Amino acid sequence: MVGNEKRTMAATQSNQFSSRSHAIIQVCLTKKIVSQKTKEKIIIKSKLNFVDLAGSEKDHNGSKDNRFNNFNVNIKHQKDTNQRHEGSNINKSLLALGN
Amino acid sequence: MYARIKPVSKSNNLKLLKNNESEIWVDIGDSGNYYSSMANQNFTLDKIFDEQVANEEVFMNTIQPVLPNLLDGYNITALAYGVTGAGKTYTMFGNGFETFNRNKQMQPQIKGVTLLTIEHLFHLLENEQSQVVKTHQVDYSYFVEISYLEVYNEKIRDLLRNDEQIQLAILENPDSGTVIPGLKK
Repeated sequence: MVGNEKRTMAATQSNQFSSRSHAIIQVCLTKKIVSQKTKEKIIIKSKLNFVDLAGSEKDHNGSKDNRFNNFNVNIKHQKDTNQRHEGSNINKSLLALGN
Repeated sequence: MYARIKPVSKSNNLKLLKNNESEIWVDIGDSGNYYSSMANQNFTLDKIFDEQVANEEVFMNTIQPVLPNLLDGYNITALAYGVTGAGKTYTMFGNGFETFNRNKQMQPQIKGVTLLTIEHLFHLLENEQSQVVKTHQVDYSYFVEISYLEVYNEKIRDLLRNDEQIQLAILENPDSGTVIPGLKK
C-alpha cells in the first residue's frame, strides 16, 4: 500500500516495527443516481474511517535498571530520549480520547 | 466492541481465560510489580477473537455486516486501540509494513482489515450498480476518494504526499464536519 512506507516506525522492546503515530485512512464515498426520465438526482455521501492508534506504553526507560544503562551508552541515551518524547506524545493524545 | 487475543508471550504470567464468546477473565497471577496496580478483571465485549483467528475472520465478524450501511449514507469508523505491540497495525494493515521494511515489497502477503474492507466495498458497489440499473431506469455512478494521514508528535502528516514538511490544520466545516484542507486524496 502506498503511504505505508512513510509511516513513522521504530523498534521498541516489544515490537521491531512499532507504529509511532496514529494513522487515519478515510474513504469518502459519493453515490449518484440519476433518473433517466425525470433527471431527478439522488446523491448519497458517506465516510468510512480506519483508525490505527499508536500503542499506549509505559516509560520503560524511566525505570532504575535502564537509567543506569543509559549512562554507559551515550548514543543509546539520545535515541531513548527521542523515543520517550514520542511515547509521551502518544500517551498524551490517547488520554485526550479517554476524557 | 471486539477484542482480539494475541498469542501470549512466555515472559509474563498473565492468563487470559475465555468464559464464552463475549466474556474474558484476566488473571494476573504472580506477575510481580509490573501488573500490581491491576486486579484480576472480567471484561464483557461483543465478541472475542482467539489467537488462531485470521484477519479475514475478524473482518467478516466486525465490519462486513455493517458495511452495506455505508452505501445507504451512514458513516462507519473502525478504531484499533491497545498497548504497544498488541497487534493493532497487523489487524488493520496486515503484514504490509513488515514486508516493506524487510524486502521493500509493496504488496502485503497477509491483508489487513482495511484492505479487505475496501475490496469488499467495491464488490458491494458493483453489485448494487448492476442491480439498480437492471430494475430502475437510472444512471448509477459512484466515486471513491481515499486519504491517508498520520498524527505524529501532535502534528499531521499526509502520507500520500511527497513534500512532507507541509503543515496541515484540522478545521471544522458546518456542512462536511471535520476537514483537513490540502489533504491529498
